[in-house]
Order: sequence, then C-alpha cells, then structure tokens
Amino acid sequence: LKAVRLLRALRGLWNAPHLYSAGVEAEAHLPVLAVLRRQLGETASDVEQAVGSVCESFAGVAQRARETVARAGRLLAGGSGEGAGNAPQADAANMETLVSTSRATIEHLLQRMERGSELSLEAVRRMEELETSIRMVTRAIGEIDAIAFRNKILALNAKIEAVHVGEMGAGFGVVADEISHQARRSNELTEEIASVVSKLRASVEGTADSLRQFATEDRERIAASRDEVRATLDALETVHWQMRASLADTAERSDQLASDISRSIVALQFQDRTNQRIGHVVEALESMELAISGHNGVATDREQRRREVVGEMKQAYTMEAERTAAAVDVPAAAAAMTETKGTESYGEVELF
Amino acid sequence: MGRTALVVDDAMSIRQMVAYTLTQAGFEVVEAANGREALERLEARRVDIVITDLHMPVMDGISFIREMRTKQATRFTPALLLTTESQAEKKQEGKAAGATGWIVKPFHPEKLIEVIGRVLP
Repeated sequence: LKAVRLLRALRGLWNAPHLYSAGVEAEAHLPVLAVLRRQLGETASDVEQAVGSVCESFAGVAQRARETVARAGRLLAGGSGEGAGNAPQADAANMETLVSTSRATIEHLLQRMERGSELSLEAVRRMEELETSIRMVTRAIGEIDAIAFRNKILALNAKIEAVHVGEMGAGFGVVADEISHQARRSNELTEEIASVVSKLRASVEGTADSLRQFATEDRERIAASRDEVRATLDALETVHWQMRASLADTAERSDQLASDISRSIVALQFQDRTNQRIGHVVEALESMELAISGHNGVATDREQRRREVVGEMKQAYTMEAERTAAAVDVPAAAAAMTETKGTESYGEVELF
Repeated sequence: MGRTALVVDDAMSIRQMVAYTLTQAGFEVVEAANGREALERLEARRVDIVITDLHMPVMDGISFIREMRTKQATRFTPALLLTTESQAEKKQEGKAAGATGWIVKPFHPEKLIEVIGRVLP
C-alpha cells in the first residue's frame, strides 16, 4: 500500500507539480486553520466580554450620576437627601425659608434688644431729672437750715431782751426758749434729711452712670451683632445660591454624560458587527478545513464547487459590508452578492 | 405602572446596551439569548414589547416572531427586529412573519426609544 501511494505521489508530481505542491501545503496548513479559527473565536468572545463590561459600567455611572443629582436636589430643598419620604418636611423647611425665617427672628431679637437699650437710656434721663430734683431739695434744705439759724439767733436775741425786761419778760423768755429749741430741732432734721438726700444722690448718680454705660455699650454691641448676623445670613444665602447653581450644573453634566453614553453605545455596537463578521470568517475557515481534509468527499467539477462555495458565503453573510467586500475580493462571487445587495444605512427604521 | 420589554439577542453586549437604553427610559427588561428562550420567557410573563435580533442560534428572530404570533397572549404584542441585516427580501420575510418594524444596527438609543413610543399601544 505504501508503494502504491508513493507511485501515485510520484505520478502526481510528474503530471502537475503545482497541484501536488498545493496538496502538500494544504496538508501542512490544515492544523493551522483550526488554530486560527479558535483564536478568532476567542478574540471575538473576549471583545464581547469587554464591551459588555464597559456597558455595565456605563449603566452604573449613569445611575450614580442620577442618584447624586437627586440626592443633592433633596438636600438643597432642606431634606436629609436620603429619600423621597422626607419631601413634605423638605418643602416646609427649605433653605430659602430657613434663611428668611432666621433673618426675621434675629431682626426681631435685635429690635427687642434695641428697645431694652432705649428703655435704659430713658431710665438714665429719669435719673438725671431725679438728680435735678435732689439738687433742688438740697438747695431747699440749705435755705431751711439758714432759716433755722436765723431763728436761733432771733431766739437768742429775744432771750437777751427778755432778761433785760426782767419779770415782765419771763413769758417772752419761754417763747424764746421754745423758738431756740425748734431751731435746733429744725437744724437736726435738715442735717438728717441732707444726709439721706446725699446718699440718695450718690446712689442715683451711680445707677445713672451704670445704666448710661450699659446702654451705650449695648447699642454698640447690637449694631455690631446686626452687621455680623446680616453678613452671616448673606453669606449663607450666597452659598445656598452657589450650591443651587452647582446643582443645576451637575444636572446638566449628568445629561451630557447620558448623551455621551448614548453616543458610545452607538460606537460600541460596531463590536457586534465585527463579531458577526469574525463568526462568518470562523465558519468559512471551518468549511475550508473540512473541504481540504477531504471530509466533503472528492470534488471533480471546479465550476460547481466554486458556485457551492459562493452560495455558502452568500448564505452566511448578514450585512452589506461583508457582501461588498466579497464582491470586490472574490470576483466569482460579485454577481451573486450584487443580486442580494441591500442598503447599508445604520440606524435605519422601517415600520410595517 | 412601568412597562416591560423582552430583549432577544445572542450577543450579550447588545442585550446589555438595549437593556441599558430601555431601563433609562423606565422599562423593566427581560432578556433571552435566542428565539426558543424568548418563547419560554413569554410563557412565564406578559411583556409590552419585544425587541429581537434576526440571526441567532437555536431559533432565529423571524421564526420566533412567527411562533409568538400564533399565541393568543402575544398575537398583537409589538415586535421590532433589531439587526445588522438590511436586505429588502429579509425585511419582507420579517413583515410576513408579523414583525411590527425593522431597525438596522447600530441603533441610536434616543431613536430606539422614539420608535418604541410610536409602536406601543
């Protein structure tokens, strides 16, 4: 049997050396075809996995972007940002209302403090009036004291005159003693009143000074507090509006992100087209491998076999790009491919 | 109440892209890798729309649509073919099988949602 094979090989080599060489080459490349087929299949699978992973990430990115915008929106509205369940509370106490209420409350508080300060100043004025009255009382006491002194002198002179008169002046002397006694008593009382008035005056002056100092400092503090509170609330309001602007910007960026993802999805779908084409190449390689290995039997009619091969290609192809490429690279297939040519319009929609 | 879509494609990446697009538009999505699996999904639950590939192993898109049209529950469910194929004769086959429309891949997400909006009852 080996000898027969050797003789056939020698005869083939003698009659058609190029065909014999092609047979040898085909036999040598046959195992390679299987490797190429597997490699292409694995590549297509890897690419599909990668695109699937990218798409999954896109979904995650878009979802997180939407959640971030929604949470920030709820937070700015005054809620906790943790869920839609806080929405009514959020409406009742949104940031703008909060700032406005704080402004009104603090303004009211400052007005009350100012009123307190005004009342203190009013008290100071009343104290000053009281001081004036006390000075008048002191002056009156001085005059009473002078009158008492003059009465005392008068009583002394009367006493002297009563002594000069003698027996007849005894009654007059008693009156002079009584006047002298009243003058002493009056002097004691004015001294007592003067002491009390002096203490009263010192006390009123001290209180007035304290109140004056307190009221002055209080007004300064109120003015400073008002400026400070206004500046803080203004700053808070500014930050709030900046945050709102930032949120609007984030929402816009989120929309842009969704738009970018949409464009990427269109681009990524070319992987599906590529994989389909790789799949068809793999099928063709498998068919070629079977044919070369003699699995399909012995072909004798070249034209018929060529038609069969073109038919298989035509059957396998699922897109215009493949048919166009086959028509260019395999002239024998051009007619068959043109016959079934469609239009390559991506995204084309036809409703029936 | 949200609508449900059945996405049928042997390519996992395409299923994911269509599912992502539909989920963004508020759909709940059910997936299947071929026509046979898709019929099983339809046995288990009602869907509002079907988006299917044409060329798939086990059962292709046209056979699947033809089969779903024989069932009472899915006789009038909109079914769009989403495929790389653009041959007129294939489109005719799809139309004869009962497809509602034909979209050539790659699809534009916004356009897909717009088309779905047009065919949904």
